[in-house]
Order: sequence, then C-alpha cells, then structure tokens
Amino acid sequence: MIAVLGIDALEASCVKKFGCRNLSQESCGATDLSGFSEPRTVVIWSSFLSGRNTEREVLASKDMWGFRLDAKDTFFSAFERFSAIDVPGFSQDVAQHKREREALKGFFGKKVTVEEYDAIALEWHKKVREEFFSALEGDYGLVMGYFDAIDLVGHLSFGVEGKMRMLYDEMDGIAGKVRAMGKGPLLVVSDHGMKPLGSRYGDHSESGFWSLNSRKDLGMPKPEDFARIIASL
Amino acid sequence: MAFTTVSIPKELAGKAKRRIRGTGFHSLSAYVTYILRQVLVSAELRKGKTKAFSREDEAELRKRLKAMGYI
Repeated sequence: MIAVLGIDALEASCVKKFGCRNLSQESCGATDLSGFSEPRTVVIWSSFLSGRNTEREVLASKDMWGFRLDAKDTFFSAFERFSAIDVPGFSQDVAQHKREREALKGFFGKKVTVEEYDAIALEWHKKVREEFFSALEGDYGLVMGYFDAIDLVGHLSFGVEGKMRMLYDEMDGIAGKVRAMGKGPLLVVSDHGMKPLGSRYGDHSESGFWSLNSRKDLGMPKPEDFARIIASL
Repeated sequence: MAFTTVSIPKELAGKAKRRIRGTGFHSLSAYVTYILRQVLVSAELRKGKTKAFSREDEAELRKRLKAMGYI
C-alpha cells in the first residue's frame, strides 16, 4: 500500500525548526511552484493528482472549491482500490471547507474569534485523522489523506509559535504512526509552504515540501511530477 | 536534533519514573521533554492571545486571501 499524507501549507523551515523527524523522513526537499501564478490550494492539488498544470481549467471553472477531477484523470486510476480523504479537486467536503472560509470572513468581520475559527479547523482535523487511519487498515492500493489545519490556523496565527509547534507535533505524530505501521511507501507532500505576514499572520509561500520513507533524490519536483513519481514507488 | 543533559533531584526522578510505568513514554528524558514542551507551549499560547492583530497586516492578509480565492 502507498500512503500519501497531503498537508496544506506544510512549511519546510518549520519542519526543521520544530524537529519533525517523521515528517522529514529519509529523503526530503522542496517543490517548484514557478509554473503557477499564485500558490492556490485547489489548483496545486489538482495538478498533483492529474500530472498536468490545471491552473487554467480550475480558474475557468465557476466555483474553484467545487472543482472536481474524474478518477480516470488522476493517478488514482492506476489503483484497483484507493481511498482519497477530503482531497481538494477530487473528494473535498465542499460544505466543511465553505464553513472554514465563512469563519475566516467572520473573523475579519469581528463575528468569529480566532479561538472559534481554530476550533472549526481542529474538529475537522480529528475527523480526517480518524478516517485516514481507518482507511490505512483497509484493503487499498493507495490511501491519501488531506489535512488542512496547519494552513487554516497558520493564516491567523503563524506568528504564534506555540500554536504552530503543537500542530507540527500533531502532524509529525501522524506521520510517525503511519511509518510505524510499515505498510509501504509513504509520501508526505504539501501544496505550498507558509511565510510570515507581519508578526501574527501567515501567507502562502512559493514552494512546497515533499518527503519519502526511502532514500531517493527527487530534486525539486513540480506538483504535476508526482503522478509519475507515485507510479514509480 | 541535538540533545543536552539537565539535572533534577533524584527523588523527583524516581517519582517521575514510577509515574511513566505502563505509559507510552520510553524514558524519563522523553517524559521530561513532554512536560517541558507543554509548559512552554502554554506560555507561548498565553502570549499569542495578546499578540497584536495589526490593521495594516490584516488588510494585506485579506488582499492575499482574496487573490487565492479564500474570501
């Protein structure tokens, strides 16, 4: 079984700073996002899944967050049985992510506190974590889970180191548990990283992160290179 | 990650060792590291509550989030 741990906004410098050895694994590096006008979540994950730069088609769709690829257009089609949990551009829970964006608007409108906003992200994180580990016990050729708490919380609290450390520890624990299960190749990958905006906030950075539980030099792959990389694992 | 040695009273170490029996902590060091992190994170979170939300930064963030389709 191949496991893919998709982590929105996982930032390479934070993985290092917080000593996340399970996230950095045996090989790790940065991804090249130079082919995209902006590091947009749905665009990058759709490109990751399909093996081609989907920026034009995603931005041309009426609702970016509702954009959906068919399984036959993704690397999932190479697997007889797969599980894709909350993956943007494929199986993302539209209602939940709308709720998250509404909470973000609510924060700016002084209707939602940062704690209430964080709680929405963390509750969803727990649900995805449960589904992810349940799928890893199943009979699948590939399981991909998408976790977005680091991105959501980071936008409003990237400068609050304790909060970010807690989230990185949590994701490192998830990676560690998957590694200990010894199911096969584990790819940890992010769409983009995060950089500070002022002393408190966080903005998407221009490169993402990857790591593998084997020694492999992938160089600086583009998101669309991973379909081929996954096929070679 | 580099490591260092700290000294704590023997009696306290003994109590802590007894406390971690049957838990997931594989050593006294792992337990002490965990406790210390909890304390530091709590302090950082308290600090974070008062960390300023600057208006200028907020305006810039809103602009960026709009560009990326969040809001």
